[in-house]
Amino acid sequence: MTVRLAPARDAHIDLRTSTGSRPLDLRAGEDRVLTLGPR
Amino acid sequence: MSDRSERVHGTWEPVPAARWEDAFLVGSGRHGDMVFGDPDDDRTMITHNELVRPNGGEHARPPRLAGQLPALQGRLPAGETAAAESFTDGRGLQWVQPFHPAFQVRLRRTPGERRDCRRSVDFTTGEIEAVCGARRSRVFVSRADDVVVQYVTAPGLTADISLDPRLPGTPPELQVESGTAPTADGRRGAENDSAHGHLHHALAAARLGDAARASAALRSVLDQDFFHASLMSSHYPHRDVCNADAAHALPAVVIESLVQSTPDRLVLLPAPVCPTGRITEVRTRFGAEVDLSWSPRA
Repeated sequence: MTVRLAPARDAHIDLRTSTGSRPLDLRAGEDRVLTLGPR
Repeated sequence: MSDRSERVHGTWEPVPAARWEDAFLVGSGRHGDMVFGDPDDDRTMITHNELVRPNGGEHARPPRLAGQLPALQGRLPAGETAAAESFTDGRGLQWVQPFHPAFQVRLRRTPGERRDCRRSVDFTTGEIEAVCGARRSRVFVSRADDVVVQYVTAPGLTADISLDPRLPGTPPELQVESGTAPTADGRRGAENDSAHGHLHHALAAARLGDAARASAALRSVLDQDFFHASLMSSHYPHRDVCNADAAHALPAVVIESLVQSTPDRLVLLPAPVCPTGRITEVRTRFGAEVDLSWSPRA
């Protein structure tokens, strides 16, 4: 699974998938691309 | 002395509330619930922070007084202790818009034995509990999940559950709809073949992380010819009765099954309705756009 996040503002979120959760800090204007484990 | 009596951060009453003014309150800042605690006619009255009656106050703007604040701050230490009482922009008294409740949920049973009745509210957890004999009802409002929850237990529990919008002062134009959410054991299904029913069902299943049930409800709409060539939808199968419910709700179902968000949470593939796919430009509630692609192997 690949996810691209394009934040318009700063955010601190809890990212959850079927395999678990992790904290994620996002900065406005800084895209993040994450490759996560099999769904 | 029982554990319940030892609680110090809360309050309790030995009888149900007879008036809404005496009901115990619980809420999240968005939804509220007034709980009466009657075991025979168990009423919980739901409120919402935007359910107010217009009175002109909705157009009121904040007074423009910031520029005068330093002068006021200087007058107070100088001994003018009443100076703040006239610190207004001169407008007349304007009441806030009055709240009105949305509806009440009633769980009625054949009146039973009343013994050891007690209703209480725990200020630490925000949970309201009403116990009467072996019957126990607990209510709380979840801020994280934005739901009002009532959990009732009793030996051989049976109850007549109704959603009743007929409340004193309710505006005649207020409309209330009810739906049925799937339970964990999956025994409840759709009540009829209306598109909005299937899609409510799918939305609830997606929130519960139940991909199989979300897919089945979605298929009930996709396989029964609900959509015209224009993509406008119908209320019933075979394009019977033009109705926009499904046209708007179906994309929401797809999104909710793949990407869910709150202001501080992102859930990816909570109830995937297809094994492989790609979805782009999903707006989240924390201000980001999400593109997501997935397959069983990656």
